[in-house]
Amino acid sequence: MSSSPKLLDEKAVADSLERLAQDDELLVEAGERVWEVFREFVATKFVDHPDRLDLPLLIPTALLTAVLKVISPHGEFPIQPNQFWQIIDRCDISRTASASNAQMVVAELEAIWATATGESFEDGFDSEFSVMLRRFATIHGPIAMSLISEFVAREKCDAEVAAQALRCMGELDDSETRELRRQLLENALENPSHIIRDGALIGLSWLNDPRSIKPLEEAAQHEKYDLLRTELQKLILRLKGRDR
Amino acid sequence: MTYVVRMIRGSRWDTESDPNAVSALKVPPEPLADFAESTLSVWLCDDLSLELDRLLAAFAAMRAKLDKLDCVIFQAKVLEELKLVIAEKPGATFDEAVNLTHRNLVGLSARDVLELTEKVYRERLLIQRRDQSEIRSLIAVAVNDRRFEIDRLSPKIRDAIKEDVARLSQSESEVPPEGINYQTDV
Repeated sequence: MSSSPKLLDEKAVADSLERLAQDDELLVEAGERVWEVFREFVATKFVDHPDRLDLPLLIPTALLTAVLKVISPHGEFPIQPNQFWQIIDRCDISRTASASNAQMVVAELEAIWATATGESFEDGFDSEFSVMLRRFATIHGPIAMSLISEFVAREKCDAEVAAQALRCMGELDDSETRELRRQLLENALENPSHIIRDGALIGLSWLNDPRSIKPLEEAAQHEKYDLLRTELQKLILRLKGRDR
Repeated sequence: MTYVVRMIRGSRWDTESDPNAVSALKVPPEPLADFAESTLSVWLCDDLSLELDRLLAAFAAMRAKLDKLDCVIFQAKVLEELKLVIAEKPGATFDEAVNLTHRNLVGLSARDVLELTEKVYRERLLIQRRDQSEIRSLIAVAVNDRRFEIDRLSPKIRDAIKEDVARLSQSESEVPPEGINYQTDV
């Protein structure tokens, strides 16, 4: 006896269709978000930029930035951090970055900075942001230092994130960028935010370089915040002791 | 007098020296981030000069890596004045004596958190920081005094304090040079 053809389970079909529709909605939502970030990026870098960057050159960077922001571990549609880093690695941006891929480095730092939003930093433990930032600085070297400096100086920069970034730069074990990192941290001692100045101080205490004594003394002279001034003076004394 | 110690991020609590500066007149929102929990972990100290560094060493030793440590210190009467519920809950550091000084402030409402933050911001005695170099020495002393075993520390901290511990134990084992009379109490 031949078996009769199996009838379609209507409920299962309905469920599958509903799931597909939900996935589809999610896909549309993700696509819209990427498009939004893409437009924001182009508006900032192209429309508002005084030098009018080359638009065809900007499009791939803008797309990459948009996708990275959305899929970064703290983005709206996050993927696993290790998968995210595999993608970043495949971008193959080296320390000898050209002007065109420098824009990709900016995109990468923007994505890392976005991961810090909402992350709570705890002394004595590495945050996801600090791990990614140290990695970024090690890969891109001097270009990373100049970009981090720009990001820290941004007017709307989250002070706690900037302070965390500065601490990381002090802790980093990379002789090639040591001088640049010292300059970055010494410059940040003049930042208007006392939280960012504190981050610079902590970074400098990790660097432990007697050449920072003079900028630290200048900073201590006009520092208005009590704890910060005390800690500046403590570090100066420690570095002077080391200098002897 | 009993003091309460709470670990914080010092820069959030820092104030300008000028008594007319904004940070001195108004409580900024940043300190709230260190107190905004329904159960708040605090430590009690009767003698700051004797007990504070031991507490800080024990607390810092539990971390993954060497780092600075900030704390705010205020009088225990602040907790009584706000009628907060204090629960005895041993701490989780490697130093058993320190663990006995741990307390939890339990069942805190949003209003409790706000009032406590405001009161501590205005009435605190001290904001203390030990930088990572001081923390390294404090942990090394704790290990040398056998308050806890070096093996319990994270590998990064263990590596960082190794030289300090060796130096401390060497200086203790050094025999006094001949000709000098070291008197000891019997």
